[in-house]
Amino acid sequence: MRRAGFLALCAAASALLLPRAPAQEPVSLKDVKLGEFWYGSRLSPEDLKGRVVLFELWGLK
Amino acid sequence: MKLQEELKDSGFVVIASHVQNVPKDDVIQFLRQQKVNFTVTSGGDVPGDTANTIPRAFLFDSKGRLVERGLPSELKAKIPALVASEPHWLAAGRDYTKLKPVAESLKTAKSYGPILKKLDGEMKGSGPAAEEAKYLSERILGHGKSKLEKAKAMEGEDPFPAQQLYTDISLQWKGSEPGTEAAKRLKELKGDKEFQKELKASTVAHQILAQCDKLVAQQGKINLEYAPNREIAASVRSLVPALKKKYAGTKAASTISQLLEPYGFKDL
Repeated sequence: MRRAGFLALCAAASALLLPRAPAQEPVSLKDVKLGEFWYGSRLSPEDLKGRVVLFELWGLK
Repeated sequence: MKLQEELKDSGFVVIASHVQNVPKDDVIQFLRQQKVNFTVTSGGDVPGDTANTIPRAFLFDSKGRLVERGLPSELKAKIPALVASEPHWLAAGRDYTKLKPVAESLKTAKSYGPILKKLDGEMKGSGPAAEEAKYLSERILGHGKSKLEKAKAMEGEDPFPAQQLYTDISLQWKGSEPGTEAAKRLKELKGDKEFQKELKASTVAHQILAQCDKLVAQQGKINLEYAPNREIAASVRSLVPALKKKYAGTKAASTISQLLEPYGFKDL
């Protein structure tokens, strides 16, 4: 019983001492770097307000 | 590209950011040949993204929240359902207690005039209905004003699509300020001789480019000597000098050669 209590206390202490994995900040479109405009319609962050947006990262090669 | 075209009226947008070390001209040539119909940028970045494989994509809902990430092909299958479940982009940004049917009607509306008229009536009252009507009215009118500004900016650069845009605005916002402004501007431009000359040249240039859109690419490149392309190539080679002669001094005549380079036309 003492051993069980001691182990429980150690588990609680380690939970306090060990660094927690940082909670992931939810990603918002306003924080996305859209990049330098190259082709198509120029879109400002204001243009994207209220829209469903698919943002792709791609390469030609 | 098909999805962008099918869902553009709903407000769905694709932005593809090129993230490799490739010359800009090469990328733009490829985009023109592929007739890409969405916005392309360079050097984009998503906070917290540590993956290094491409392509990869991120799907954001109408509130700007990241809802999915993964391969573009996987995400594309989920987009129609997401768009259908979200409010129309003009109605997004708030909840509705009184005017939800009006907000929903934006998804199928072909013109905003009748909706704006209804909202004007609601704004004469008070309470949540008037407040919601004011919000929707401002969003719809703001969109019309933004399109008017784009048309105005295009007048000097590319008269043909500018004229088309004014015509669209005059019809979609008929009975409201943007519609009236667009109709008024169309009338003014009809009497502007300089604009009319540029418009005719621009129209011919766009007809030439429309022919080039039919050129067949082989492994991403256009070969003008390829049999299916020869007739179009010959037509373009005769139309361009005629455009330059008839509309000498216009913007279209001075820019057409550069616009045709991605299609393989050199020294035209």
